[in-house]
Amino acid sequence: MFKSGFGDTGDFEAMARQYWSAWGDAMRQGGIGGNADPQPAQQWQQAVDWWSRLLPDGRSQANDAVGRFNQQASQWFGQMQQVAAQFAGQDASAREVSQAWRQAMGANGDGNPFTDLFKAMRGQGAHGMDEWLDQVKPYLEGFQQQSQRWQQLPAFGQYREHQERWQALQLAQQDYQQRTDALSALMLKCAQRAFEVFEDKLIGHEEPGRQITSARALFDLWIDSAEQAYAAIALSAEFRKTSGALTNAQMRLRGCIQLEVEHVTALFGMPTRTEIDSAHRKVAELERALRRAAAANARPVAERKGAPASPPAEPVAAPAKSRPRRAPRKPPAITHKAATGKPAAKRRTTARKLAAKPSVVEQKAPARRAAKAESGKATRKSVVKKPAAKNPPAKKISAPARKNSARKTTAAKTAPARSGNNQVVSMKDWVARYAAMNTPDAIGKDKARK
Amino acid sequence: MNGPLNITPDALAQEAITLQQKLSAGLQTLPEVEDVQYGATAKEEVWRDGKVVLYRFVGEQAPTAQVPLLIAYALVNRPYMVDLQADRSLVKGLLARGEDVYIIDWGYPDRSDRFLMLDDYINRFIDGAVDHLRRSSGLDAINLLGICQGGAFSLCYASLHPEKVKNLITMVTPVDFHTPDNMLSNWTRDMDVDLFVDTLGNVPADLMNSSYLMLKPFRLHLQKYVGLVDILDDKHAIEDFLRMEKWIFDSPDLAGEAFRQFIKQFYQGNGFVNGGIEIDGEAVDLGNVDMPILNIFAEQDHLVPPDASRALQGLAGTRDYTELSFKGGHIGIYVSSRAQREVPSAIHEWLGKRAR
Repeated sequence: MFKSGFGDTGDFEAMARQYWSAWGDAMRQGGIGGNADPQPAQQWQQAVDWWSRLLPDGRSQANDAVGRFNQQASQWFGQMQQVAAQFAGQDASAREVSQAWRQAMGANGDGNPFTDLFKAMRGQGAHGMDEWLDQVKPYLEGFQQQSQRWQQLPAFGQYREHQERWQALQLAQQDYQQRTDALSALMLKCAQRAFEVFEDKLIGHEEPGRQITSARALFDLWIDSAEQAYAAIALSAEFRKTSGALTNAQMRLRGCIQLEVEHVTALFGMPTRTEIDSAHRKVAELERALRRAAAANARPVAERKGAPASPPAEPVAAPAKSRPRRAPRKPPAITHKAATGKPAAKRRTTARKLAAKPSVVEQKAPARRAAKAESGKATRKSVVKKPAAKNPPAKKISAPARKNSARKTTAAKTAPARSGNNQVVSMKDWVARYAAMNTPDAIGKDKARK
Repeated sequence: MNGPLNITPDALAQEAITLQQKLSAGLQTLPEVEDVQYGATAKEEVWRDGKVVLYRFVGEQAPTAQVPLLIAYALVNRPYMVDLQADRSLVKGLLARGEDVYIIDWGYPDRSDRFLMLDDYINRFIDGAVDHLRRSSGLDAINLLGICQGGAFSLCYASLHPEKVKNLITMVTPVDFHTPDNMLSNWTRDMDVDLFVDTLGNVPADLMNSSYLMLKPFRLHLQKYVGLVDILDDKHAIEDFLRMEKWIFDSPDLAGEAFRQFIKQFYQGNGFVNGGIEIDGEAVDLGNVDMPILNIFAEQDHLVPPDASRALQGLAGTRDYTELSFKGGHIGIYVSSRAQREVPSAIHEWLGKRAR
């Protein structure tokens, strides 16, 4: 009915009016039967397709939303309009309506209306994976048929490592396909259950006064039914196993593919993902080691002197300290417990934690003062000091902690400044400063102190 | 008529015409909608460690509260989740009541951040931000507001550094990850997270978002967009809709190692309840969380079921525990108009009573 090429809103309105009035006339002349023309679902979709094409490019957020609407929502709603039109002005039972909806969704036999929906919901990464698999599927399947015996053969000779990798890839692909089929079967079960729930809910609307009076209300009822059926399955152990197995199978397949890609990139002298990960891991571990070293350095000297010597330890990983869990739990309390002071004895010393960090930028300009100065001009009258007097400041920082704050400030002052008030301590300086502390011996002592 | 439908041809035709009018109106309004802005409140950077930045929100009046309030949200979100627009901003509500509000922006981790661990997030970033605030305020301890996963991080932090947290507020925070209505938890239980992270490295945001959509696929993927047609003739409503879209889909990738630890220790091991959470080798025990706690949960939360949050009451070591239920869902608790009315004032009043 609609053809692309209409240039503006006026065209759309004219054509849409023509379409809707034709459709409205058909409705008034006795509704739309199964074979009647026009078919609302198709034409609704055509209208929406055409409508979305009229929207100008460039409004990325709006276009994304329209895209999501057009992707599937409009199609499902169009189908429901068709079902509603089928029964307009007629007295139909819940079963008849439910059956018509099944038929519209192509779910009368083994058809699974949920498959496309769930496929469309996968993230971009999964889409890429699916597309790639779709592309290579014919080759993989052909290869599989020819190589079923080969897959089971032991690998040997010069190329045994390669053969083993290829065999693993083949098996991973087969496994992934099987797991995908298993989840699809479960979703088919979910769809069937959703139609049953839909019928039950329709029966609940058979009383006068509770009847459904619009296609949109019928659509919303279907959404409720589908969600209810889906939630029951998604919370089941069967879903957990099936979806978990599919996720794991997909990861195994991805892993095999990534391995092949690494072989190719390595062949051409390009850095591989594994190599880059390895470098990133070292950087992360170095940062952690520096942080610990800095923390150790920030502790009071007396504390450090008192620390017993300990054997050298592995530089980064700290030994697992297992503190016993507090055994007796307090009895079930009322929702709001009385506010009572707790002994401060449990509170630990904060000193060791008050340490400078690598690559930390401190904005030295006191933001609080700046904000106060700025806002104070305009709202001086409204800012009353009374609340402050009512709520005196929490206890001031304790002596050791203050000492550490001072230490930190001094350290920051000696670091090279980037610009303005930002005090930047570069990674390079930190490496130089704490290299000595990062020796196994120093770290061993640090752990002992901890 | 005795059947479930009472749809007249006229009514159906009218419904179709209304839809057509809405679509036509959309052709006028959608092009007028600029890419909407997020983050209604001015903020200034006060501290930074790598990609992680601590911001201080600047209100229209100077804060009257003496103790800074630090917000830590989930790694999958962005800071404007609590400051979406002028009339949907928890931050604005808190500032208006005199709170001194700060937020940690986790940034967008890239592949170079893959090896960040929970230790880094808790003992480096949160602790660094807290120490900065303690120094700048001259106080021993500050107030901490943790949201969702940020709430779980805050609980870990409060357990490991109780002396630095004066008051703890947790919002829609999972504590018991094994309640029977926790769909996400059910899905992660049979997942081989080692294989997952070893293969993917960082966890792509798209993958996380599809998991969240899969919690209510028909409502979030179909019904919501059919509902979009209803507002096509209202530019402001479209802008609100688009802001929410951005809120939902603008998600950073997740650092792989931190994700691995979080899934293993929290989702699979249910460590707050069963024990076994270790951050940098140090055991996390909620019994150490002895400062006053305000625990806010949402009654219709499909991501963090109410019981998952309420478990905190039986586990925390505090004797000053307050629980607030919010009538709404996981997203409504930040952006709904009810949330703007109720949440900031509840937090402010609760903090006010514990300001000494």
